[in-house]
Amino acid sequence: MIRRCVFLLLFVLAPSFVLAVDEPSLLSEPGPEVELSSAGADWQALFESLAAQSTVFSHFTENRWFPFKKIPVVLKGEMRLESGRGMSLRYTEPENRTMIMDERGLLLRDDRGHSREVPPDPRSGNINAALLPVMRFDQKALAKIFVMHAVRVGNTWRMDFEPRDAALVKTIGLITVWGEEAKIKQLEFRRSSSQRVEIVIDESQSGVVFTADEQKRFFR
Amino acid sequence: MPFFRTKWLIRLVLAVAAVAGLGWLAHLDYNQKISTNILDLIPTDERSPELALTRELASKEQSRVALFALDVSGDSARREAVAAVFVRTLSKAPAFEEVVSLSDKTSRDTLGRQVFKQRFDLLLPGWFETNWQDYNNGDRRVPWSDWLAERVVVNLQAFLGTPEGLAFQEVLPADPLLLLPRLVDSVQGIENPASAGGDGPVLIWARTSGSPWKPEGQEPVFDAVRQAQTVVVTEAPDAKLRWVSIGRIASASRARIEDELSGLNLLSLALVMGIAAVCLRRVFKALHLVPVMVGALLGAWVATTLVFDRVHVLVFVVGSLLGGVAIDYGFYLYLQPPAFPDEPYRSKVGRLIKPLLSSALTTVIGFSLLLFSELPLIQQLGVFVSAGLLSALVTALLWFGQVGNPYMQTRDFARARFTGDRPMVRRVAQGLLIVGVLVALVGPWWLHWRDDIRELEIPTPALQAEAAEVRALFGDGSDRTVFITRGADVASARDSLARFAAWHAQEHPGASLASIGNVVPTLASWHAVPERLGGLDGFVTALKAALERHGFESGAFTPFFENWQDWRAAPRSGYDESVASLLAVLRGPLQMMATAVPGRCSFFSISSHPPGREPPPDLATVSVSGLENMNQLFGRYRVSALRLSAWGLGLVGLSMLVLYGAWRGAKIFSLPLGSCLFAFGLLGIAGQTMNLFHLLGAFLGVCLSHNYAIFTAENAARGDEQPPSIRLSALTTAASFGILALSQIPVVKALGTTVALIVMTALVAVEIVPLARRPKPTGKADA
Repeated sequence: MIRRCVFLLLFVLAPSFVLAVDEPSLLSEPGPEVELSSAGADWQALFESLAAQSTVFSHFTENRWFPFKKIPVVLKGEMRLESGRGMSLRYTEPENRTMIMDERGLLLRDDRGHSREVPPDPRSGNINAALLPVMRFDQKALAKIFVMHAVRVGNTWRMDFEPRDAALVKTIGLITVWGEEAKIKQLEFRRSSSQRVEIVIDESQSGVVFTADEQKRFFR
Repeated sequence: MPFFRTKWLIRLVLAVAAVAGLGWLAHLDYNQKISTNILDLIPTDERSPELALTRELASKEQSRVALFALDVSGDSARREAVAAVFVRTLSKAPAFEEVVSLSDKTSRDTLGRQVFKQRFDLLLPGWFETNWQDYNNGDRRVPWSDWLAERVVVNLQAFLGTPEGLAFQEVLPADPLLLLPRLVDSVQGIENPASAGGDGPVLIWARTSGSPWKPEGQEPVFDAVRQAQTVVVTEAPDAKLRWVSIGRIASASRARIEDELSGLNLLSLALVMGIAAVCLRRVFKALHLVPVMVGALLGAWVATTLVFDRVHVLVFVVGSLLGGVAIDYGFYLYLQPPAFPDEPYRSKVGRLIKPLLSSALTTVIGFSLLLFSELPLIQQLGVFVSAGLLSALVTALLWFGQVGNPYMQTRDFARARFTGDRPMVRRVAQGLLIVGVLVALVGPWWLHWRDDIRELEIPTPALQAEAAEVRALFGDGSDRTVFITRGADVASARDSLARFAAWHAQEHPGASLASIGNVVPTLASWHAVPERLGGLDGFVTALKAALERHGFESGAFTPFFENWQDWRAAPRSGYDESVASLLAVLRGPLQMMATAVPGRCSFFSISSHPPGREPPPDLATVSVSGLENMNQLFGRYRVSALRLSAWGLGLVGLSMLVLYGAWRGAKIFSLPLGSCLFAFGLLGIAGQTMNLFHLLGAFLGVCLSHNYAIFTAENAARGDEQPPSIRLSALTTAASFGILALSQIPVVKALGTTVALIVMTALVAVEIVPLARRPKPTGKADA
């Protein structure tokens, strides 16, 4: 059950990193360790611009790798992020489904509008505390929970977040975010080479305004 | 017989009766005899089985649960460490059978492991039935095993695209049939959706060993909690404990009742004595009324405890004010002047016995009808009041028989009579009577009736606030509904649960329904398993091939194939045995979710919606999250009590017609009836919501005012003045019951208000009617 909640959270959080990019050019290796609390001015500026995102709309493709499957399971969908209201993921392939994550927790909603709350797991308290700062790019909180490795080549960059707590490493695994300037291109949750989730950003817009109908359908 | 011998004979009789009564009361075990349990107000053999079940469950299992919220500052490690100390200390106390921290997921993990271990026994039967139905609805050209294998892999592929697919990926190699993932939705939520974790308090669930309704079950619990609290404070001085248990509230309620009993009774006695002091010439002579009251209460206590095995404490709270009624007979006997100097007591009694017997016996007849009520409290009140009144009458008749001068003079103003000599006074009196009649005719139509079992509870605001806080932390709220589905055995309970789930899905579309019962297969699906397995000899091969076709590594599913072969090779256990193995691992709060005692099996279900319409009776399911069904029950009892009261009043009225003739009888009966209607009218206009206990109060008030009507009519028939006893009696009764209106217990307050209103109305009517009459033209006649 705990893993279920963890993965639900990971799954929900993943597209929050998504901003618009063109063709991603990924850095293949993690960089050196960077002290989050005293990162250089360049990293500081990047964190600030990532944390300042207000509303985002993205199309994304998600590849899920399982140890018992030769090819990944592919999902497609739309992500809506609005600071203050949370994040909504609308999957369009292979089937329609909406997930909403906000301050009150996680909510699953089907096409008929029936919602189902995913009850909190007391043991996931620390995991919540670990993942929410990632979504918010909250530097101070991140510094407490993760060790960050980062590398930058030109405008492209890569950040690897490794939980300090061994138990968290086992449940969350390693989070890697690739980006270019203030935009995220791809991210990955990796527990092993055969057990990982890749999120590839196909198209993204920031600063969008969600209509009242969208807010009703895609947020709580 | 000379007075001297009579006096000592009477004293002997009274002494023997008192010793016998007190002896009986002294030998009683009051912890056993007197109940503070609100559920004892509901009949044990309540005719609705679902309510009987609710009562039983609430009484036996649920009531033994204690919930604790321990606030400790610091990080989670410190909080957990302090909580562990608390749990350990509490667990050592014999007063607790089980103590579990909600953050300790051992019990849930144990259940998870057990379900996984028994997944083929428990979950496969239902899975087979769903698929078999789909297979049968198709063209059936593909063999069952090939069709099923393809279906498994298609579903597995789809599942991997869901959020749950990621969460269950480690289980899937052993469970490609998705037995466990599909189960999660139907059991998620059976635990308390507690707000544990984070920075909130540590939540601890416990089950006590003794009865929470008795002091011997309560005190050890309180001691153990105090001890655990002391230990915790040593570890963490800033720790704060909030907790709730039925026993804690019951104990506080008992203390409150004891306070009310002593406080209200003292106040009542003081008021009665105060009225006597104001109205009587020699106050100390009023002490002759005390034995009448004592005799009434002694008789009432003895009779009630003799008749009933267990008596609710509310009977004594309400009944203790019987003194205000019982004193009526004393007043009437004692305040009547002798017909002639040195009139023998026997002669006086002969004059007064008819109104005394008429009033006492008709009231007793009325209250005796309450014995036919379904509600134990009403039955007990019926016996208490009837026995009390009879005892009061007998005591009064005997007591004044051994008093040298059985006459007590009142002060002049207490005997003062008013007439309608002055037109202005007459018109005001007539106006008041017209207003009274209007109120009596119109007001009752504005009455609203509502019965709420919580009005029977004795309020303990601080404890109830703490209880509400703690229960909210444990997830109790108005946004969910708890149901109990019952059956004579597990199979029938499970069958009812399946039918209830189908009803629930239609009634509350989209709402979840979590129950541990969903892990249990229906008996029909269990019996169908051998038949379903019959065509599955090639299933393993077909499944491997299907997995490879859809891009899976079939080798990764070796754990499943091995478990499958082992399960098929092993002898199959019985249905009851399999279910028993599952239920045996339930611990802590989960243990409360299912009961499998022969003849009394039940499953709890928790739904994610506020309470709504009750399930139809044939589903053997009742909601328990609210008190609605209890309130419906009380509403039904009110109707029953209304019917009995109507019969009682009819009998009282009929006896008046028989005893006094049609016209006089009707006039006598109009006073209590009119007073009652006026009181109801006034309450209706005031917007008072009425309940069962207003009705009972009205019945008592009618019987009391009926006494005044008889005494007034008897005196009028003899050409005597209206007896001063009516004024004193009504004032003392109104004072007694007016004091009840100050009670913090809603039902006692309802009783007190209604009786006081009716009695005062009757007194005012008795006083006003002569004022409204035009005086007889005596002057002209004389002339």
